[in-house]
Amino acid sequence: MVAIRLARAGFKSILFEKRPRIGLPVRCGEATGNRTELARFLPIDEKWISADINAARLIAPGGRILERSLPGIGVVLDRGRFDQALADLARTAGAEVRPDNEVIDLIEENGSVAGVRVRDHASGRSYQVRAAVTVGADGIECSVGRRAGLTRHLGLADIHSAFQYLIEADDLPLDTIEFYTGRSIAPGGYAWVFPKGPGLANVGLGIQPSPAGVASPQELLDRFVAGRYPGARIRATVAGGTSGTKPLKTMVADGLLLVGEAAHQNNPLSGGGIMNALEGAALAADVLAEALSRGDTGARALEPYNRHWARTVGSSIHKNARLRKFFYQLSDHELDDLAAVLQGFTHRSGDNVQDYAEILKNALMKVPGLVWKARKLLW
Amino acid sequence: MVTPERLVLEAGRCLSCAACPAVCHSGALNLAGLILEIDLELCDNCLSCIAACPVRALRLENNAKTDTDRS
Repeated sequence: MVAIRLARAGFKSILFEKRPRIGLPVRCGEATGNRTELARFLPIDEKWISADINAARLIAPGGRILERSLPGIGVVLDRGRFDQALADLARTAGAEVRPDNEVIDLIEENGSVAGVRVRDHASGRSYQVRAAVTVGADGIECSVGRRAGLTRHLGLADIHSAFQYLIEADDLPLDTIEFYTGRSIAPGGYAWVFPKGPGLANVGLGIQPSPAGVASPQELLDRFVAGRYPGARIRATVAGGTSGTKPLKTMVADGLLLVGEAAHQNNPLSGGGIMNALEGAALAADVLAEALSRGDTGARALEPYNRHWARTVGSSIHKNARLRKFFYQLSDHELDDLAAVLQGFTHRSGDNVQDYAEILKNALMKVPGLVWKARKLLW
Repeated sequence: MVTPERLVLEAGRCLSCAACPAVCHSGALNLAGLILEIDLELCDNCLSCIAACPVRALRLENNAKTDTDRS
């Protein structure tokens, strides 16, 4: 998205992708915001939309079901095609796209990032590209940000380890997304069912990993699918990790800027990050276009990116990082108590579903045993 | 320093998902394209990558074990 917008603004852009094919293998649950939100960033193409989401269902550990009709709340993407569409738009705008080319190091001059060293996997050749600014959009690995000292490795408490199948089965929801909670299903996380078209769904789960963990996400998912969808046919497997931590203190350095999960821009509670990444990239492109026009890509010139992000999406990420710490350490019994109270909330009309963090906070106030645990969230 | 155990990748299980390099504090793991590279000189057997791997593709193995032992 940054390359698209900068190329459209007339700046020469090169996009390096270390994988041989853009967007593949998919590492994503693929559920995201609605068509209107997506259309702010690129024209909707039915080729990369797998299903519309019109309802959500939360299943508590004891089996209580919270369900709500949410017409047009989101879509489930075909992420491989979506990423390829973004790359095509970048090419059309004038950017150069180089798959199978991996950024292996940064060129640093006088304390500023002056470009990148790249390895072409096909030829084995390494080369340098000098640039006025480098944008790190390399996801959870964030090797660019780590090399620049903007971020470091994630602790096990700050990551969700996830596994997903694309399954084919008879009784899958058509336009309802489902979330399953409970320590036996997904300790420190949740399981999901996201529709992918008639008879197809992404069924996955993410957990907070632990060296003492007895079961891997794959083993837990095998158990879940066997119990919930016996006889399901597995069409594809997806694995990945998602960052579950608060925003970076700074996403910029002299000659460098980070976007997407590389900048911890995904929602730490849900793990979702597509809309936030698009939002971050659009903001980054605006700030970069201004900085490049003035010929100054120093950290101070890029600072408005930090400021605007902190005032907008960044503040919700902070809130959700705190919620994540609280929510995923609840016992099954506590989750059931919370679900009982939430059922009253979800049946009330007029709630803004986007404010689910607020709804959760209000519900917590009504569960006596959880108020003390949640005090850092509430006050 | 020779440690009694070393990190081993079961390449057939790895899905190149990048969860392991994300939690590697020593920089011993790098996903080069779709291939996971392990620098055993940097690895200090902290186990984080083993815990983070969704498919149990990584494990510690006794250094003394040979390829013949494993087969």
